[in-house]
Amino acid sequence: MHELYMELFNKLGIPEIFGEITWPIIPFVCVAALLIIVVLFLVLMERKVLAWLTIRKGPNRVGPFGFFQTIADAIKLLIKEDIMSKDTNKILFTLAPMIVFAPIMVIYGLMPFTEKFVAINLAAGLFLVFALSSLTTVGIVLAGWASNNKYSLLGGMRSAAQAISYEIPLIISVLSIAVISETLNLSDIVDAQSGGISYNILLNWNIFSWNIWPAFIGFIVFFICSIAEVNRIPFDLPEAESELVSGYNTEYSGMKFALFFLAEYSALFIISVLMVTLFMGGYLSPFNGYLSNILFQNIIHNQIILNIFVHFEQAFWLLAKTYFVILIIMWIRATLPRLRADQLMTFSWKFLLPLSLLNLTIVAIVKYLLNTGNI
Amino acid sequence: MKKLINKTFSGIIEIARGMFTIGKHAFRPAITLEYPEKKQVFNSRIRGRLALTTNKDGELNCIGCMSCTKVCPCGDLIQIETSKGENNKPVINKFTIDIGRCIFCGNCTQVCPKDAIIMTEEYELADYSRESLVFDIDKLKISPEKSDQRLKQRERDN
Repeated sequence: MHELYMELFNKLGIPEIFGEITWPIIPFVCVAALLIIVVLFLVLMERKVLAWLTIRKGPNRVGPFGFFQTIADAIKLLIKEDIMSKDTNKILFTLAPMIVFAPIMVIYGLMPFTEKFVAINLAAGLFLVFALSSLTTVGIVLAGWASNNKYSLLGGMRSAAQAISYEIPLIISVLSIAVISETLNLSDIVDAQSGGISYNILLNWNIFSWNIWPAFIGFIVFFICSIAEVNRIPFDLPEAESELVSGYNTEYSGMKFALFFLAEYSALFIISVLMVTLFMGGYLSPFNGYLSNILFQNIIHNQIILNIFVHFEQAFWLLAKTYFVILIIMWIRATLPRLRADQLMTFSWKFLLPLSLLNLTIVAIVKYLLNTGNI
Repeated sequence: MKKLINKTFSGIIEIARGMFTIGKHAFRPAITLEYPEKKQVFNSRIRGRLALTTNKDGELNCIGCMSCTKVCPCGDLIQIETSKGENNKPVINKFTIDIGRCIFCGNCTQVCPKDAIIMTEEYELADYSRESLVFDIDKLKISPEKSDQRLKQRERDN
């Protein structure tokens, strides 16, 4: 790909140095475009699904079925006045939305969306994902502090408390995945989930070798903790509307609020992608091999074109699984009420943490027995 | 330990039941009324915009007794000016109602001896200035057929 890109510059007569400079920017641009499209769609989806589950119609005025509603909202947010009250800490107030947003953007680059579409393929990708996703909390606390508002500060503190207590079971449940697949590279984790459990006709489907089966308790812990991680109902204490106005983003408006909003929804998407990658086989199809190989191999004989089809199919499987997870998270939002702060802490420390340790123990024992060949 | 496990399972069952209930809602038709296109059907007792009824000849039923102005809680909301016509019959020269200040209490319609002032179903009264909300006879008058129908409805439902 790099040679092809350079050749393009040679043909157009532009010095090669520009090609060398712009080459690393391409993944960034792809990731940024993907992020914005995903968020625009996700906000609409959330409003539609919630409306659907609460017997309403949802947005249906702007464009066909309200498809352009979020675009209109985004334009409104961009041209709004940027209000900053007198007693805020100006530097931190401006910095906070960026600190919230930037790590999430980097995580987008780390995710294996297809076999080839990985902007940054690191050996310790899983580690970096969690390191970066905890950074978001720093931004939220900073926003709460810089706003000079008691509601914002309370929201920020709650976010910190929540992050500390929920990240521990989250990471211990992820540890079991590292034990199973013996790697921290996200692409390798996905590849380790292929193959099925046997060579028989049905048992060789990929769905049977997903990590969700050996680490089912871990999956449940991860699911609950990831909802807490992205501050959604029933764990949306940092921005509890009925108690804290709007929590840490009370004082924000215009572009800065849009950044918080963007970060929130992209975090929801990315945590779902991560869940799919770790537990549900990522971009692998649930069947044995890819459908496009079976469907088109008699029509298309060119292997390169067939590979392109397989690529799109991988993206399709990933998105289908991700949106299934997101749908369930939205369903939970429509069902459950918000937890009290002490219930939240009790639930995390007394219930989820022992459960995640139990899961790790089970997985480790099973892995040891499998490796030594005793089963 | 046993208590904790029991609690966990009962919690899972309760949450599953709740989610199942919400899931069932997805298959019900939306109860939203898309307002400007579809409008709610009201009972005829709705207290909407005030109107003046007319008889079969297209003349106002009002006899200028001023009962409505006296009973109105908003002061000089209704203004009537009358003069004597032939056979001492009252002629209404001016009849204005400031709808912008009206509280739609319906006292004037109850006190009217000739059912000359009634309330209609119309409720979309927004306008750009206060002056345009002061309705005169031309705006208040409704056709004989409509007033007949409206009065019959009122007879039936009250």
